[in-house]
Order: sequence, then structure tokens, then C-alpha cells
Amino acid sequence: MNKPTVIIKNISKKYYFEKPKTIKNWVNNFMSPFDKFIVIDNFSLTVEKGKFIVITGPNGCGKTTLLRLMSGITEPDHGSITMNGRVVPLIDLGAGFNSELTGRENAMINATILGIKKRDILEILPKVIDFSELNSFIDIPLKRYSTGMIARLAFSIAVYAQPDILLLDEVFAIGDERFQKKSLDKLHQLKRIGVTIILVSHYYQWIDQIDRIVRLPKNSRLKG
Amino acid sequence: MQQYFQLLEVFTIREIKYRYKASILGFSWIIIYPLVIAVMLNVVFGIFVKVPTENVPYFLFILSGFLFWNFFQQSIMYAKDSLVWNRDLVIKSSFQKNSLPLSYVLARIPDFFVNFIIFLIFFMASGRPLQLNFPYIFFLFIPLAFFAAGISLISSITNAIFRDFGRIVDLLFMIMFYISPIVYADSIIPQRYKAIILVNPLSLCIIVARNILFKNQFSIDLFILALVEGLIMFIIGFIFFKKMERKVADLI
Repeated sequence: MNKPTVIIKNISKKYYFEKPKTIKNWVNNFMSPFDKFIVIDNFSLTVEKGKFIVITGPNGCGKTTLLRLMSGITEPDHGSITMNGRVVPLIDLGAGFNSELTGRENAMINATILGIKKRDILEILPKVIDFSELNSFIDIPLKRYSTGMIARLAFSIAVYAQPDILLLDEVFAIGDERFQKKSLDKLHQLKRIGVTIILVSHYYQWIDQIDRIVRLPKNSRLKG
Repeated sequence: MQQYFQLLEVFTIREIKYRYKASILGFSWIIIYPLVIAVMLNVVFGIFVKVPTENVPYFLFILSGFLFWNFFQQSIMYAKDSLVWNRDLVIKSSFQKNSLPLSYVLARIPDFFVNFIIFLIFFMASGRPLQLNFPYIFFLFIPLAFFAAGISLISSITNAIFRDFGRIVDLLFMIMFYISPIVYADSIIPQRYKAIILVNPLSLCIIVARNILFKNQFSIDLFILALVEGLIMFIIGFIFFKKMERKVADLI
């Protein structure tokens, strides 16, 4: 149980911001249109298999960026990230869902993006529908859903996507108390079978069985 | 690999389904759109300008050219915005991003075949027989699709970073429409300008198609040239996209 599944070594990440567009600076902006912004500066982290980690810190300290780096959506400028196992990110509840398509169609697309084979999707779909409690809503376009329903669907797909490492960003911000409780039970159940869970959250005080809390410092700065 | 094709498949189906949702006429837009344009071009270039077509009725002539143009233009027009429209997916999930522009190209295949059937109906109604070389026309779809896919890959990723590139594509459409023999026959182009035709797979496809349909001859040399050019464009697009892909999630 002590094999590390996540090894992050001295990573740094900077973002590019568009400079304010003014006529005076037009030529200068045309030549170099971006300002640089350091989000993560020389950060390291090792997480063992089957641990439940909470990452917290002030707004803009790079929590979500860290999850995006771990899921391979973007790459660090320096340092290395090793993820041993299947990574399932849930960066934003319902990101990339299409409002004109039904819940079932969206689940199919979302699960494919998470890298699940078609016959496995057909197998987990009933479980997803059951867990999300959408039932008859599943064949209705997503634009008729409430925010909570979309969140429940997204969460349910992620937990049934056979993750080894589950990356969650503020998943408990939406959803009623009962569903929050049910979701947490599901996470504990996954943890017991060896799934590593990394949760970004401001409100983690009510969550039990957290193995470690990582506080990110506010070290971001603009660079001329 | 199998996973990649599944990704292409779900994105393509999503795009086809999405396109005609919340629409009254639905799929009949596939038919209405090219017919209205063809009638208009027929009036302007067939009746007013009287473009010479070597005894082919102008309506059939324009429909045969517009068939290819419509696929080329529509697929790139939507594919160039594919990353921008799916920004949420690009910045929040990890997958092979070139599946997005490519699926928008693939989603235009049903339109192409429906347009083709419409053309065939008019073709047969005019009393022209389908000749021996006719089946070759289906092969023309291959160079055209590769060419469109290559441009889609380049325009989608550049447009994701700077919207200026989307504007450039709009401008190029205008140029492309007039330098390709869509509303006119390639035979009216002076000899020293013929090179414009030869470096453009879209032109080559239209010329080969018209030779098959109206002259019953399959110009294999022009077809191979189109295929090679289409493939080169696709490979350039593919490599270019691959190089930029790592950066796009931060810059989009």
C-alpha cells in the first residue's frame, strides 16, 4: 500500500495573459502579446496509493492548475510529474457537456473522453444512471436539467470510470446534503479498493478519513 | 487506437445530432441550402453572364462543382471553430484534441452524399446516361476529404490562439471560390495561369468529376495529383497540430 502513485518533482508553471490593448502600446503588444504569470513555483508532492488527499489554499494559488497538470491537460514548464495508474479528472462538474443533447448522449461522450471502451460504457451506464438518481431524466436534453442534476451526472460518470487516481475539483460545492453524504461514502468505498483520491476544496472540515491536507502558498506573481 | 476512433465517432455523431436540434426544418436543410445557392448561381452565371460550359446545361454544371465546394467550405468553416467552441473540453479534459476538428469534417460526409444524390436526380432527369467510368467519382471524395482535413487542423489550432486566423480563413474562402473552376469551366483559364488549377486539389477534383460525368473519361493523372496534394496537406496539418497541441490548453 505504500507504493507512490503520484510523484511530482519541483514543478513550475507560468500562464500567459493578454496585455491590455491600447493604441499607444500597439506595436509593442503586436511583437509580444502576452504577460507572464507564475502560478506554481518549484512545487513537489508525493502521494501513496489509496490515500485521500485534500489540496487547499487561497484563490488563485494554483489548485486547479495543479489538477490540470496532473491530468496531463497542460504541461509544467520545469520539473516532472509521474502518475502511476489511470487518471480520471473531474475538473469542472459538467465541463464539455452539450446542452442540446440528452443525459445519456452526454454520458456516452464524457465516458469516451475519459477513455472507456464502448462496451464498458454500456455496462456502467445503468450504474451511473442509478447513482446519479436521474432515472427518467436521462433521455431529456441537458438544457432542461438543474445545476445539481448536471453535477450529479458528471460525478457519477467519474466515479464509475474505473479510476486509479481520481482528481476532483470542488465537487461538493453543488448538490444537497444527502447526495454529498452519498458521494463521500462512494469515495471512501473507492479508497478502500486502492483508488487514490485528490480533492481540491475549501470546505473539507466535514470530511472524515482524510490522510493529508496540502496547503498551497499564495506565491503567484506577475512578471514584466 | 480503437479508443481514438471511438472518440472520433462520438464527436462526429454529436455534431450531426447537434446541428439540426432546435430546428423546424431539421435535416431538410441539407437539401435546401445547396439547391438555393445552385439556383442563384444558375441565374447569375448561367443566364446573365452566360458562362460557356461545352454544351452542358448550366444548372447541372454548377451543381457538380458546388457539390465539392460545399463539402470543402462547410467542413472547414465549422472545423476552424471546433476548439474555440469546445473550449471547456480543451482546458478541462485530457484527450486527443485533433479528434475535434476532424470530427467536424467527418460530420459533413452525410451532407456530401445527400447532395450527391440530389445531383444524380437532376442528372438522370436531364436524360443523361450514367456511363462506364461513373463509379470513379466516389474516389474523388478521398483527396478532397484529406485536403479539407489538413486545412481544418491548421485553421482550428491557429484560430484557437488568435482569432485573426479565423478571419484569414474567411478571406481564403472567397479567393478559393473564384480561383477554382466552380462557376466556370477550367478550359476558359489562359494557358499561363493553368498552374493555379494544378496546385489546388479542390479544382482537380471538380475537373476530374466533370470529365467523368460529361465526357465519360477518368483523368487518372489529375486524380493522382489531387490525392498526393491532399495527403501532403493532411500530413502538414497533422504535424503542425501535434506541435501546437501541447500549448493550446494554456493559450485558448
